Amino acid sequence: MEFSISKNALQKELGFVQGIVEKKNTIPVLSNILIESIGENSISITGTDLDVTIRCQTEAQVRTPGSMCVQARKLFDIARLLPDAPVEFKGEDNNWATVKCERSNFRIAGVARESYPEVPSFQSTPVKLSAEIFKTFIDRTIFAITLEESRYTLSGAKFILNKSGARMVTTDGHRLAYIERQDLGKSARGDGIDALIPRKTLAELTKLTTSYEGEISLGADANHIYFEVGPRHLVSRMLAGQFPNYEMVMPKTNDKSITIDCTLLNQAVRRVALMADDRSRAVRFHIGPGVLQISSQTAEEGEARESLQVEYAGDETQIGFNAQYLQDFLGIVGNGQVALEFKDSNSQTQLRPMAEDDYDYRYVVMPMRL
Amino acid sequence: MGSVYALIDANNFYVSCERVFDPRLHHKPTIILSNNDGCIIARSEEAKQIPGLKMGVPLFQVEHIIDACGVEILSSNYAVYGDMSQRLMWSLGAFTPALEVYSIDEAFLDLTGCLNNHRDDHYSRDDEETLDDLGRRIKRTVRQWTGLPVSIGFAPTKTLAKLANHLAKRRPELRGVLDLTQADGREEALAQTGVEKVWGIGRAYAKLLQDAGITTALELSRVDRRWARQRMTVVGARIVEELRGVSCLPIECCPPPKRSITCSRSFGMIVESVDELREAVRFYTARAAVKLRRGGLAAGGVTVFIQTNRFSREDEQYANAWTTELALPTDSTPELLGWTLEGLKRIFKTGFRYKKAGVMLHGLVPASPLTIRAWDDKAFQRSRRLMETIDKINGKFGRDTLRFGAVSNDESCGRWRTRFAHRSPRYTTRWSDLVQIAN
Repeated sequence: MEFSISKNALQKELGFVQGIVEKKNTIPVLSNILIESIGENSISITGTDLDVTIRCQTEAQVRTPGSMCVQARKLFDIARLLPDAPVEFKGEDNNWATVKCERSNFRIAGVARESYPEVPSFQSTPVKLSAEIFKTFIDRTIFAITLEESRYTLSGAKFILNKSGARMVTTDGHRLAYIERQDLGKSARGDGIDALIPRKTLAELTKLTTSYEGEISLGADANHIYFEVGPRHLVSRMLAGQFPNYEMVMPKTNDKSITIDCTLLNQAVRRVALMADDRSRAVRFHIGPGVLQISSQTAEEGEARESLQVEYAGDETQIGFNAQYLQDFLGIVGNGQVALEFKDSNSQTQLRPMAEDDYDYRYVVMPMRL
Repeated sequence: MGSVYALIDANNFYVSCERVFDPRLHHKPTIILSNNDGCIIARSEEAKQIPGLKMGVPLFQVEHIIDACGVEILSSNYAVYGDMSQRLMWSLGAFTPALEVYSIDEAFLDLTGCLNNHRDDHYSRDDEETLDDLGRRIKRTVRQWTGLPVSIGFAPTKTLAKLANHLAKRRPELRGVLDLTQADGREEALAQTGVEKVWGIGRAYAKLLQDAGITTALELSRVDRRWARQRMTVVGARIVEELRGVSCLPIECCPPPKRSITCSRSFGMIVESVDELREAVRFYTARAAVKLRRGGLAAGGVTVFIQTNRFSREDEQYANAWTTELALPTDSTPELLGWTLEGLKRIFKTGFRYKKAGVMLHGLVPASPLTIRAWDDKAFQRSRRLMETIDKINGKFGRDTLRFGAVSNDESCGRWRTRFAHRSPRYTTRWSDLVQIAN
């Protein structure tokens, strides 16, 4: 195989693919990417960890058609440092490849095409959705996905798309992020999807949809979910198992509420959390008439207290929170007003931004038992 | 007067504990063995004089010496040692509340406040009493209250106090007390101490220093500050300052929070079946869970490990561990058992002769406050209440009075149980083992 590609196109596409190629893969061949020619004017670059596969198509001048498998990380490092000029690839004997760019010459080791695993073939993607909406869904929920493997079904997002709208829900068992948009306009078409999408897939989709304007196409079969983001395709294994009944956790009887500036609340929580126990990160909200007092203490280091004015005339209530859980949400919302809706010390609290937009975005945090 | 620290260390602690309850052992060479009666882990002064009876030596290699010299052998008896340690610490607490329990048999005391502000109780020090006098009074008190002999080092820093204690033990003319609070005499003590004996100097630092021509504590105290900081990090720099008499390491009255809890033993006999391994893992999990709850903690991660006898030349070797982080921290024994048994299932391989297994709980967080679970919190709270009740009953009526059916108790001897063939009675923690005085 022999082809020429611009340095920028090479670096950009490798940037998308190399994220899923694990550095210390248990199956050594998976540290490689597969480059294949498509006609005379384009190539595809494929990377996989067997759960997630990304295939990018990009322009290139193919002189000799064929394929090659080369080390992903090394090629990406090379591409980043090359001058802005055409890069020449040529397959050599024993699966090696030469890479030339102006005065730079590299020979890099590869593996035989046959040793590269068969990746799931791309199925149809009949559903269309605005990339911006989908990225907003991911950005506002991904942080609540558990990082622990022990709760397999919580290690991804529940994504439902049907005629009435789209919804994404994530949880780690202590908090839950929920986002819904009913009016998808013309951007959503096709049959519905109900899938559990792994966290890693969502992280890769964030990269693919960043700065991509337009629609993405989606499709799913029994085990996989397919995404088409312009010239880039992503196939992911879906998580199997039952996502917990999230509607059960959404509070329905929270009868008290305060509205507060998100930035002020975030800053106050961050400051008070400095004196919280390093391991529990516990901060105490004392909500009384006209004032929200946030406090924390550690026996060895000291204590912190901060008061914020709020409009509230209900009963005094004390609720304990893991400060990190609050900061994650407040950091995503950024600015504007947020509503904090609660019932008592031991019931779930709901936070939601008050800004008028087309999303129904809610965040449920379980309190700490004080 | 500047700061005054004391390091108080029981002499030959394990042997001394045994002698408290068995006076026959006085003046007899005595050794204490590790779990499964494998190696020597403690010796009396008389045993130390016998060539060949070194620390860490396997018992089978020195059996001929033991027979020839009439050495008394005892299995380790941690129930007695732990209880005696507590008595020692209580006794020392009478002299100052600023006490740091450093190990099972040693404690640092900050006597600074006591020296400047005399307390009104019986144990305060009068104006005429020197530190040497105080040391002897502490020795007498501890001996009278616990039966244990101790050595004491006084100094303006913890590192120097440790060094003073080391010398007090090794120089008979000091009769177990050395005061290095005054600069006079400190240089001589530092010059007599090899750099490898300084507290905090391990093998790597000792080699680094010896390569740099620094062989004594005195030479170490005189090294350039910047050199120490660069070559030995802040840890080494603090040691140097402490040797110069500048206190850098305050007393830690509260032990630092635990990072992990491990329960692991070598088996009394080789185990091959998964059923026996499961029994051992259940037992270790239950023990670790009790320790977890006693410390007011919940685990955010679990590791289970198994291994064959790495010293055996005949056996094929296998060792493996399985770790999982828990999304929801827990202190409930049934939940922890679920994880550790799942781990064992994943790492167990048939055809190997297993010698050891263990359970480690990590990612520890305070059990209160704990975030309420979004799902199944009621069941979790029920389980926690059950654990609390079981722990209370066992605390009142003795360990394993109530236990899970899946977890065997001490008396049901599995082959995996640790062997203690020469263990003395557990004099202070079991009614049935109380000392009896013959008519």
